Amino acid sequence: MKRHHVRQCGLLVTSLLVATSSAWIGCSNETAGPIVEQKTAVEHGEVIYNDSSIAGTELNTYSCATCHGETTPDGPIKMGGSLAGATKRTSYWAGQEVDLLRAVNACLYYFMLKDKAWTADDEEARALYAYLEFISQDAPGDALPFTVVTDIVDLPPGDKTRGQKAYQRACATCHGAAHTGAMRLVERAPILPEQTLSEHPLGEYTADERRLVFVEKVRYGAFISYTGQMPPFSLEHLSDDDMADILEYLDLYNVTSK
Amino acid sequence: MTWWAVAFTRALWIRALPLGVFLSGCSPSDPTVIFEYAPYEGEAFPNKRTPLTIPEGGAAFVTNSYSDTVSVLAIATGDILGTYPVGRDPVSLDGPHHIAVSPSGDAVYIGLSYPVVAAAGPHASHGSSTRSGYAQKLDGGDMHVVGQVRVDYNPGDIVLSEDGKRLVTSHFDLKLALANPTNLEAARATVAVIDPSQMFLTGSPSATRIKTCVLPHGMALSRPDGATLYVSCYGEDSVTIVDLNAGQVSKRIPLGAAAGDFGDPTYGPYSLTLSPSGALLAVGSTVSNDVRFIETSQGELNSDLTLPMLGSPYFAAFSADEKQIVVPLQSPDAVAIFDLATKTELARRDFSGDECPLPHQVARDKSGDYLLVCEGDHEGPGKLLWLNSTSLDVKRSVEVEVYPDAVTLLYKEAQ
Ligand code: HEC
Ligand code: HEC
Repeated sequence: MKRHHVRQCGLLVTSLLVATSSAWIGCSNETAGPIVEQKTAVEHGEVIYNDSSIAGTELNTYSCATCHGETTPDGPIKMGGSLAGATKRTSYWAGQEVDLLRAVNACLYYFMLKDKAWTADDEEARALYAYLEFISQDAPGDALPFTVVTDIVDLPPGDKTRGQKAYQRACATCHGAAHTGAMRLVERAPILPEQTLSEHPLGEYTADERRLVFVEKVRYGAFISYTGQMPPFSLEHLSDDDMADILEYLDLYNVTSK
Repeated sequence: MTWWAVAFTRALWIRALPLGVFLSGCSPSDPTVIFEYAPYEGEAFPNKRTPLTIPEGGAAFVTNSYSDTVSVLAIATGDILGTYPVGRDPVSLDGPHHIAVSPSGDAVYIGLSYPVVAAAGPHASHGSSTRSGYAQKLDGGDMHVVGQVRVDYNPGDIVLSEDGKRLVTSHFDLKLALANPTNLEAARATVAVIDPSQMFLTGSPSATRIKTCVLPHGMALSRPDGATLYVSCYGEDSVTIVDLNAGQVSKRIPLGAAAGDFGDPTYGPYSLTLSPSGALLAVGSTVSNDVRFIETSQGELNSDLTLPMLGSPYFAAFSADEKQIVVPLQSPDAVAIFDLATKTELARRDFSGDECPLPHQVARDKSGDYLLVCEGDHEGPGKLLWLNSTSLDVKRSVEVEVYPDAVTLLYKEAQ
């Protein structure tokens, strides 16, 4: 049985600074004995689903919930889709995987940089399964459509206003605000578009190619000709129109001068 | 979401820290809460795969290199028993290339070659970016992946010794050859030797590399223990013999007097097939377009026995009595059967249209029929053809997936 220790109090702290400086900040656990609360495996699984530390590396800041869940019209785009129904599905990743555990391990390995795959005996894997089974109860078991765009072609310019919203929903979680990177989740995610443009200088790349870098990276993610930690956006999660809107918002139809 | 889940979402580092050092803003009287999680009692991640049962008459295993799948077909009926996704990467092309099945059928081995597929996009010119190949082990019972070992770039062929204890991949490393046009030693690529019992999902021991020759491709292992490895060396116009017990090349057999300088092959030996008795090696060369033979007892080329071909020969098969050989040919696409004693063509089937684009490998079924893999156009499905052993008439044709390029057969009796 796994024990998680936490002090119950109102304020949640996310700062690693606080965590790593073992500064004692006015809390003492000598005054009261610990309270033991019994939790179910499903509850444990929900914690794991939301926990980036399961990867076992500080290089990872994602949890499953960063990329998976229902996409609501105004909320962040969950490019990994909802996992409700996952335990009933018989194929994953557009048919490239047929075992749920392998489908999960792909995310742990490629995105969350976990070096050792889960086995079906690992306690965390089992608890996550309990949670997935729980959220799958009333969900259909159809395979998720997941169309990876492999042919990278230029898109006609989109709409800036729509692009701002699409950027907010699709890119800002990881890359932070455009031009500044403010609030980005991943340190290695470049500031868009400036950092990427400077890494693809004119001369080495044509203006059109510099724009296509954005399309290509969004469509391939960490795969095909790329590595890294960015997930691919399939056609189901980001249409070509949304893509073009984002390109317009980032002012990429005018990259000759940058 | 309940409060505690939120608490854990945010307190990402909790487990790494000793108790009590991590929350600010608590009042001294807040008690410590310890959560105890009940273990999951059900069966986590149950195996939902349908077991693969080898039917009477055996099964043909075909790698579909551009679909990342293996098709398994019943030889007697042509029914597709299953199409199994393989490889490591859920998005990119793993390119399962050749395939070997253990005699008992309990394990299936494939080489993952990570082919560079021409694509549009700004980084298409970086397209030659290479990824190490892998040898992957599948459970013959339901084709799930049980192990993998990294090998070198572009594994061409994969062979398993009859006793199942040695697995070898060859590395058709064109980049290495091109990068070292004047340095023979540096241009030579390796074969990788793997202990199949030591293939795990993570943490498999490294394969043993043996530097072999320029552009090693087709391979065959002596029977039963695979102590001797034969390799066709495209870039050196030779067949190289590797002593696997000693871990080194023991002999290089030039394929003829006209053997070219390395990098400029006159013959271009590509495929290799060992005869049923192990006495003869057939070597298909795609530059000179002929099949030559090596007597394994002497380790010498049989210079009297060269079969000129109309097109480029690919992976051939001997008849059971070793008197004939069936050769798939490309450009023009055909399959032909030759008598070795008289060096004559006994029958030929020319393929037109989509009958059998790009024949790649032929295997002899116990019934005497030959099974031929046709690559197709590399965009749509390819095929497996059943051919009559004397007339080469097409008895059956079954579509598989994209760019199939190898076939190997397994019989139930062996199980
Ligand atoms: C950085 C984003 C990201 C993270 C983090 C992530 N995934 Fe994924 N995941 C994806 C994407 C993208 C896919 C492919 C979507 C698809 O198959 O429809 C995917 C696919 C899957 C699938 C297959 C879904 C299907 O039906 O095809 C499962 C199951 C899965 N992930 C589970 C998890 C779990 C569990 C975690 C946490 C341990 C996790 N993922 C973390 C992005 C992510
Ligand atoms: C889940 C996190 C995540 C999301 C969401 C995300 N990215 Fe990224 N992105 C990254 C990371 C991390 C990198 C750094 C390279 C890598 O690890 O793949 C990156 C790199 C890039 C690059 C640099 C490519 C190069 O060749 O230099 C571009 C361009 C990019 N992202 C565009 C986008 C756009 C546009 C969106 C929204 C449609 C987006 N990203 C959404 C994580 C993300």
